[in-house]
Amino acid sequence: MNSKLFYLQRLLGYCLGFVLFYEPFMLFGKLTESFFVETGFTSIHVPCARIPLANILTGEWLASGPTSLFFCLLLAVTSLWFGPLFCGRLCPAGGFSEFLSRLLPDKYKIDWSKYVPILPLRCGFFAGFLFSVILGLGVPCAYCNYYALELFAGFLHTGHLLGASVSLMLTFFVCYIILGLFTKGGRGYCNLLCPVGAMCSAFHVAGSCLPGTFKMQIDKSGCVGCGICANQCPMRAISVKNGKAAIDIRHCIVCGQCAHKCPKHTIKYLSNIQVKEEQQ
Amino acid sequence: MKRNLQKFGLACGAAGSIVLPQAITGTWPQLFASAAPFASGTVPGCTGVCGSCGGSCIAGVGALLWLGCCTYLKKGERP
Repeated sequence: MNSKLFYLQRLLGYCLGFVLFYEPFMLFGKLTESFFVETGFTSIHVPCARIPLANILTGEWLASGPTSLFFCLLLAVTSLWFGPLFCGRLCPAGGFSEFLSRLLPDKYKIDWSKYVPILPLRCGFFAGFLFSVILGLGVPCAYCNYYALELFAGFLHTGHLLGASVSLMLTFFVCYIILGLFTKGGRGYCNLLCPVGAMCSAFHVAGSCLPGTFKMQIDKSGCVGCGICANQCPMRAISVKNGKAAIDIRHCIVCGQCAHKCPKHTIKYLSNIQVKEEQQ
Repeated sequence: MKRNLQKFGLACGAAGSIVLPQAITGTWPQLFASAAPFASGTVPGCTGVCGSCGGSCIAGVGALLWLGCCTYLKKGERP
């Protein structure tokens, strides 16, 4: 597949995410209302997985509503079996951040993975999110990139930007400018702060032990260790060790960027069973 | 061992950078009273009293500050 077609395909995925989860379309809410249950209102808060995650932790899981609980369960199951597909192929907030970062040359961007170990920080921020909810200190909407994007997207169709919104500006600035535009790969927020992403990755890691689950796989015999995949990975999840590329599935969002860029076509999205069959 | 402890410290600091700002603004809601009129209504559940909603903006900035500190210190450690 040529590059333009690949990026168009990815862009279409994020546009679909936008149409599904954001006003004025909010197709997910409308479909749910038509076929399953009344959601009461349409906003990104209906399908957001943070709210049911927080409610499950505090034991008030019924407060989330069936749509939110269903979406949270759907994310967990798909991540367990197919990897964080939502993050890599559908999440408009993550996609916007990634595509925004492409506007700036790499020399102006920070590659966080070069300066700090990403995993402990990601786990720490996720633990912070969970503790703040358990201890009753904060709401799950704290530093939410979905909501920040919704308000700005709302500006496009209503013409109102909720004047002088200090909190919104700060959240948007952190999520999309510092951790997006000025971050290599543009997925700084996804890699470090996003609790939904951390939850999906945890399920992806847990699922990798099960037979038949899918993940990005590298055919080591064909890998020449050129490092193109590592350089292109928006999540900085690939490293080259001993002349061979290795994917850290704790960060991988199965976006397919590495597979597309690999000159030897050694990276594929396969199930464990398919890999075993190929090896035999 | 030292490396693992360092990672644990980083994780604890990251958790603290999310929890502490929210705890502080929750305990002293008047701390950022001057910003309240501007912040009111911008996040779900915001009453206009900083901290009562969980300090959404403060948590984001806290996390970024911790990230900045870690990067600065790590950069200093490099030869």
